Amino acid sequence: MASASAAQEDSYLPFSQRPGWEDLQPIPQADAPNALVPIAYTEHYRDAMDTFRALVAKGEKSPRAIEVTEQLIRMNPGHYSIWAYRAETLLATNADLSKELDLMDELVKEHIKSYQVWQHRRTIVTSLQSSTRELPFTTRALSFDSKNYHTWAYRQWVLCHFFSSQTTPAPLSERKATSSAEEDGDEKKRKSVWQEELEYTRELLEKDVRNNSAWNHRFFVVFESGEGGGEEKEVVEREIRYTKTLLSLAPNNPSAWNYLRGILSHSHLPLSSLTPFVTPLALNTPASMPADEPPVSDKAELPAVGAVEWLADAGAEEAEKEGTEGGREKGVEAAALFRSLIQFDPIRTNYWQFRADEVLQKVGIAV
Amino acid sequence: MAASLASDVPDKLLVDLHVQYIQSLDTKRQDLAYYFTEHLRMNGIYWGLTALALIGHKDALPKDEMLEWVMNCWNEDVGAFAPHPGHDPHIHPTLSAIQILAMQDSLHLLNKEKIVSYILSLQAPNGGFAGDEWGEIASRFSYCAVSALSLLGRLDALDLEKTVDFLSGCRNFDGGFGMVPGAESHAAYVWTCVGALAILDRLDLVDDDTLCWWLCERQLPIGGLNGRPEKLEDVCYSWWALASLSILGKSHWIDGSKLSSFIISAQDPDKGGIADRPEDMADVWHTVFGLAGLSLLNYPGLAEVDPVYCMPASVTSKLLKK
Ligand SMILES: [Zn+2]
Repeated sequence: MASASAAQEDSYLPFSQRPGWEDLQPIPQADAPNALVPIAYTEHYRDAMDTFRALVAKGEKSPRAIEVTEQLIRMNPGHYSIWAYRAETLLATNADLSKELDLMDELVKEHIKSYQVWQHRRTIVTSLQSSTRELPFTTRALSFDSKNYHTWAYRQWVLCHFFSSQTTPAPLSERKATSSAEEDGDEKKRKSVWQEELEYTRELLEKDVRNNSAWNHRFFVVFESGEGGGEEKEVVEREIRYTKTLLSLAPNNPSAWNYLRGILSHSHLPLSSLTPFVTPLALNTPASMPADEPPVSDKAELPAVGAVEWLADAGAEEAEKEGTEGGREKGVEAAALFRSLIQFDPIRTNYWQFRADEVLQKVGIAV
Repeated sequence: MAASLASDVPDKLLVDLHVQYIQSLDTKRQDLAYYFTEHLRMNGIYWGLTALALIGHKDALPKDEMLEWVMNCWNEDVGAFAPHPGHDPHIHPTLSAIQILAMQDSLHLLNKEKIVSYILSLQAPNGGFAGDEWGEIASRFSYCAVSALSLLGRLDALDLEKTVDFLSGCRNFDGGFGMVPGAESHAAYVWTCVGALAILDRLDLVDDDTLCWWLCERQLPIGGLNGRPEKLEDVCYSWWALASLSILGKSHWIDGSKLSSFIISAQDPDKGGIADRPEDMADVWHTVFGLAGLSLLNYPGLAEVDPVYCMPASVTSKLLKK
């Protein structure tokens, strides 16, 4: 350990001794820690920080600042002051921003969880006004980590920033002169980006049907982006059918059940509208699945908790509508379904008990 | 030596060890990690101090030194705190500094009006807040803004409508909240949005049945909670989800005793501190959120925590005259 760091120490030339840096007087940190055993890496970091402080003190925005900040963010990507100075310098010196994206492509692999890596990329891409690399880049990043929060947030930003019909168009002075044929072409391209996005979520869910990030993205594309494509009613039917198909293959998938509930509440449809599909999954009677519904896979594990819960909620919804007059029978049924969930999902016993009591109270039965 | 066997899972709260652990954090200056976490130092002091206050040892870190260090991070030109001397100011360390001073009964040291204008300057046209002038917008910064203004008694300065619009735009079809509109629900963002809405007295914008069910679904059979579906359980997510449930009056929906055993088992039995899950390395972040979670679960020997502000309830009730 000691000899390894000594060897590294030998080959390291502090910035102030390198050609082109002699004029800079490094500025040590005011409350410099009293390191007892400084390891080589710490020394390099400290040297680069002292040099960085000297550049900031001079307000120097130069290729040197780009060089020293690169060394620093490679070591410590969390230090946002360094990123900020780097971004300012790149923009002030008209640096080649596509080279900066090459560096970001590389750094994201190691620092995918760093906020700064993503925010910096956004600054660069906004300034470049070009999204060409961005969707393929996030697709690659998601291929290593398909649920990474930053990557998804970034991808959605790219979609909204460059491809939304709702974003305000660029000021006239910044727009290229386009013929109307070109404009039609642009509009086609824009729409096809959203079509491909839907297809992308389908591919991700084919690989992992429980990928909640992909379900969320699908909801965003279809219902929230304003770019869902097609008539609202057809889109809703298509999405319900799609989700049912995936649930009939793997019914124990909370993300898919939540998605299905999301569609219904978005379109103000009652839960009971899907009772014919849900019942066989809840009661473990796959053979009774109606012919116009997707067939249940042999591998499906039944009864599915999500389906039982759905039936219980649907019953509670109906019972509540009918109230103390006609809702009693449905209320009692729903309460029994809620209680039956305790054996499958004991950690949420209190919740199931609460729901059972609640529905009984709503139909006027004392508990 | 027997005490250090891995099979020796703690079964009770190790108060003295946690005090020692937190005291030891500032003595690790020869570690590289000490440099690389400078940008989190102000938050770290808030986490450490809150943890100590919850276990009744607030004085284990010297108060005067702490206040001096905090005020060294004040940037008079910008009107905000940096996370460490030599770094740029940011809204998150600014909130942490206010929280530290609130717990140390020293809010009089602040130039409140400067902070208020700094915070307001970070609000974007869509109502969200950026963390600093570089403009990353996220609901956690809305929380920082709202919580800080509330602690300073200056919520009146805020554009409530815009602020609330952004927060409710972060709400998703599953009832949860994400970092920005469209982003996936995540327990930490749920807490920041619900906490901010609670401070603004706008919990009516929460679909609480759907949200509380989603939060309840976060508990795994082992007792710990995760932050999103299909993710591992983690002590800090236990706090985000449990505190949100607690704000909405539904913390009894999860299995509290299994959760507290999970947190207790994530303590380091040798050096103190709490890890994200048993057998991992402890850190101050999981230590404070573990202790705060235990406090919400009424674990014996802990001071009551305020689920909205993540500080001892005695501090917030005095300050906000609740
Ligand atoms: Zn954690």
